[in-house]
Amino acid sequence: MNKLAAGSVFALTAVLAVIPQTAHEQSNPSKPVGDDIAPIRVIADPYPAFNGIAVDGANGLVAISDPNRKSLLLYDRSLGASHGEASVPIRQIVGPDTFLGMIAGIILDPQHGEIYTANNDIEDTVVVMPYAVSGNAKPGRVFSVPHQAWGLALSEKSDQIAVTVEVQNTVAFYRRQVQGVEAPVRIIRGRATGLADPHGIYWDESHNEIGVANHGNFRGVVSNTGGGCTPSFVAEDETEAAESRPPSIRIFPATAKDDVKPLRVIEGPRSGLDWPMGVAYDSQHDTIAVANNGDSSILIFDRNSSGDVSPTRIIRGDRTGITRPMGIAVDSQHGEIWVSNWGDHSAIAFDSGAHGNTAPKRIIRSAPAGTATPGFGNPMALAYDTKRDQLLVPN
Amino acid sequence: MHGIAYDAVHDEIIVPVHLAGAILVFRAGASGEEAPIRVIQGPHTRILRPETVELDLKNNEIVIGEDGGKDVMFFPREANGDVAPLRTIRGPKTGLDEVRGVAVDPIRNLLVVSSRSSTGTTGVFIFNRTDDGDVSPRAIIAGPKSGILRIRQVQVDPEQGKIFVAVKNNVESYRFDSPSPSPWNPDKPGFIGVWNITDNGDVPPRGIIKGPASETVWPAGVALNSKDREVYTIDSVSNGMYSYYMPEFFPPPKH
Repeated sequence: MNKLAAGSVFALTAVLAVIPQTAHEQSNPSKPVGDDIAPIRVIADPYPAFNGIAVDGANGLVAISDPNRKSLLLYDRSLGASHGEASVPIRQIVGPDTFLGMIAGIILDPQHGEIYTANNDIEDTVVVMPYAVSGNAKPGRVFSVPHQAWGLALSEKSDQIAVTVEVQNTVAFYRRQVQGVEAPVRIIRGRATGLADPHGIYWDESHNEIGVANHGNFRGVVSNTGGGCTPSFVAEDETEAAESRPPSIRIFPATAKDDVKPLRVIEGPRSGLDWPMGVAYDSQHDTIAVANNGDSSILIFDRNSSGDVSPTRIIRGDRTGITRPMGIAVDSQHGEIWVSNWGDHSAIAFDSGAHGNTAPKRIIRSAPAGTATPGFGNPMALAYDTKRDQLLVPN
Repeated sequence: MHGIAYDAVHDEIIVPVHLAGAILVFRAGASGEEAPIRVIQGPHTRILRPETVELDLKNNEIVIGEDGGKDVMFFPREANGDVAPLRTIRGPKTGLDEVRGVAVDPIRNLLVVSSRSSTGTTGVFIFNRTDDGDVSPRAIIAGPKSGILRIRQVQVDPEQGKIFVAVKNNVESYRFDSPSPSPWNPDKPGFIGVWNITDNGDVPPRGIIKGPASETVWPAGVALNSKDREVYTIDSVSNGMYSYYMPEFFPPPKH
């Protein structure tokens, strides 16, 4: 295709003021032009794309959410696709009865044999699957959550599940057995919390804390905090300034509710935080591990870090295989950190004490190594760049 | 982000940031983690949650549509920082609810808006481009014959006076008391619909891309390449981008 010169869109719009009818419209005005036309080109990823990741060391399972093909995949944690081949999952849960859609965060509950995953957009639910199901299985439970739920964390002690909600700058807590439409038992929300576009969340039972990764996008505190999705978002105060705040990790008491200040905040240029997605607590090292999507790294902070502090360790570099990480999980039983990559169909395991430009111990792949990754995630718009003959797609 | 526009004259990309109440402008050649060259954000902007964006290069304006604010706002194209909008179309007379797409016909001085509503009208709303305040639309394309149940991005081909609409038709319930359906089996698949900009009322599309061969289920975006007579769509179920050669949608090439 020839490229249009800059300014030619302007030129195109400056010519005709009449609406021409095609020959088809003139001869058959009732039937629309077009119909069921096959595309001449398609860009789509036929393979699962990895988002959230969870590990059950006792049962030897790694579970990964796939918003591309809308599936959950369970792998043997000891797998290693060292030769570039696609890994074979133990089970894949996929199909119209699963209620799986644009899924993000995932957690495993070994005690009750359940998999939780959050439908981030469109469906506005958390789907709970029994461990043993596969294929086009119906969920064991589904419960409604506010629009843009992303991260999940579970507490055995309190028997609650925590859900982060991006647009509402909220952490909502539900009783673990929640089903259908139920109000949260409590929420953390308000100006004092500093929550701003929260994503990943961990629940540290040993210190009775939760940690939340924030992207920093903030446009007021939204009043709707009920279960399920409402179509409109109304800020409580329209004059409140929109802000693009620094990304942060905010640590709260696990029993916190309403508009509370965090116990500690990791934030600032020294932290290196850049689109922090998943977060996890590593009890073996008493550290917080962050999937730092913006610079394709894993940042490790001491649990008690606060303020503008540097990570104690960073896993980053061309040997690591980390590319646009989304999820992170700690397998304390085997001393490993697992990372799911949005950038290249892979999940990788490191020793939990790893640092620097270290190669992963094992790789799980959903596609052969080197397979291109379009990276679409519930795309809603596109534009045509006439100068470069390119299509632009925001995620 | 649910919107994007390309400025072919100044070679820039404009995106709305829903969660930060901001409009960002980048070099069109930007790659990686590059800072925007302009940002529209702050209390004077009155921007709540921008969903979609369009450029009116003839009148040198950025047009944004909001779902939270239920409005359409116009800013100078070069606006930067905490600046007030030039005009805002908002209020009960407008019929606008969750604005999902905006497009401008600079030849006829018209503004085309796609709006979704669970309590009002879901359809294509056409205003005068210079409208301001709580004004009624000149025309609304909506109703059962239109096939519009849920709607997203719109584009205008001013040369032909055609409106291209991503009719997503995802029928999620948006209700507290019933779970949303699976995205796998939508009972009302979406389509790309084409209407005349002079259409008004419950008018069937004059052009359509729809069906299993098209591979689209919930088309959410639409873009045009009139030079090569192609229509592009992005689908939020398949996470795929589709290109269609549609000479019948465009006038023959000029020789």
